[in-house]
Amino acid sequence: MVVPKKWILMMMTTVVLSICMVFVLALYLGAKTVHQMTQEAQRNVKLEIFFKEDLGDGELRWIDSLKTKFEIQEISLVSKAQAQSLFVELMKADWGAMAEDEQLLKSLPSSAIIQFHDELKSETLNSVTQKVVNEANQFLNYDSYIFQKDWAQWLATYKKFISEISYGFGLFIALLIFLIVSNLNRSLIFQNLKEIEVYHLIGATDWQIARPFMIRAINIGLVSIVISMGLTVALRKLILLKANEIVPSEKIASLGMIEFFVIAALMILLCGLSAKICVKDQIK
Amino acid sequence: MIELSHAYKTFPGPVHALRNVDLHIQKGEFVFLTGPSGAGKTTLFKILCGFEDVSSGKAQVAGFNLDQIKSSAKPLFRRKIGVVFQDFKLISDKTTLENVVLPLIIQGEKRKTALEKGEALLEKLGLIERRNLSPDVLSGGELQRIAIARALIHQPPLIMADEPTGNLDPERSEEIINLLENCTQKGTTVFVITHDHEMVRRRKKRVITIKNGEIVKDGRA
Repeated sequence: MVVPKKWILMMMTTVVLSICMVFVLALYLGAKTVHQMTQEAQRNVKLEIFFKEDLGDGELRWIDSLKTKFEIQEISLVSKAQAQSLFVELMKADWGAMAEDEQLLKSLPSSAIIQFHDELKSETLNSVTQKVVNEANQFLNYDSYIFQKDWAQWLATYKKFISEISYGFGLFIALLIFLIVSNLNRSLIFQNLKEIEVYHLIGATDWQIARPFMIRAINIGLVSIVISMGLTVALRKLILLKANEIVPSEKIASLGMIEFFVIAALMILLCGLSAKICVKDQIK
Repeated sequence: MIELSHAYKTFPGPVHALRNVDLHIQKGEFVFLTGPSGAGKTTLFKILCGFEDVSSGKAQVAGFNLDQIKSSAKPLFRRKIGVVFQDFKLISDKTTLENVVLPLIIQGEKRKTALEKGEALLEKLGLIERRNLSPDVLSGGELQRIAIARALIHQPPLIMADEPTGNLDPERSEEIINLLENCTQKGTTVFVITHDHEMVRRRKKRVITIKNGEIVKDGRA
């Protein structure tokens, strides 16, 4: 049995469209992952306050009061002894030898690590953090603090870069899809030039002529959406795997139903539109 | 039904395909258009079908001013006429019946009703047995009758036929012309391009002869 050329072209269109759409969806998911990771990271702002001596009763009470005062969800206390032992363990692990510099061990500060896991925006968090730091100033042995938001800020810069690159690629791929789909649609339409001519000659309007081709193109778009979504679900697992290594969250890189329908509708519309343009071109 | 007044058609070159053509055809008339190759028959046919525009002059067909018609109104005009093409212009992917009912479908007729009308017409033309076949497997005479059936199905007031007997034997040619002639009894105007002078003489109908883009003779055979 000989497969008609137009069926081969239709299959080719479906495959090419599916691959292009996987690219678009992967780009979208990648950009969204980075965006969500940044948001997640900005929520987990860590304030580390260093004390010159071991934490006294006053400091411990103050740290305890912070929980209720600023609705802080987690406060970890690291005493000087704990810090020293941790340092020694790290030295062992890294160099396989005991740290010899006693002076270095003695100079290690005690610290209180306060983590904000709330849903506050970063601006609000900054202000809360500042208030905590101001209060810490009442203690004489207060040494210094580190507001550990560096990597969140780094990720935010990365997000901007990724977004720009993604938008650029997204536009490029959208243009590419339009060109590829238009060309394949054109080939499909060339297979039916006689049909178009007959319809035109016996009084069909442009819309009547284009409609069957648009329906065919939309069907191709629908099948491509299903194929590409299947591939993207597999791809999403890979993205999630990598994303969870950095910021563990179940929410990361989910493709909501609304987003999916918007992307699907846009792609299908693109298919239909390209068919309409090609047919109109042929009628002229 | 057809009114052409001082109609000219010039193609780039310039090639003067039609010069100062005046033509008046009444409702219900049967008219043959003859002339040598390159005389302008096909150009005149295309203008009357709305496939080409006149360069200057007036052209009125089936109530439409073709010299002023907007492109959006052309499909409406084409629905008013039935055209039989020399090369039939049937769609291979569709069955004979589907080809015949195409004008009805385009005009918005329900598919079921259209198919019923198509079957009735094919029955009349003796082609009912062929209704589910592709045009690819039909003979020349059958294709011609299918093309005529498609032109007749929506009962247009004007039928235009471009050499409908071109590749047929004399017996089949007579059959086709009889079919078209019968349409005039219901008031349909029939305009036929032909090279078959013998048949034109036998029919004793109005004959228009065109040469070098000009009408050189107009009268009964």
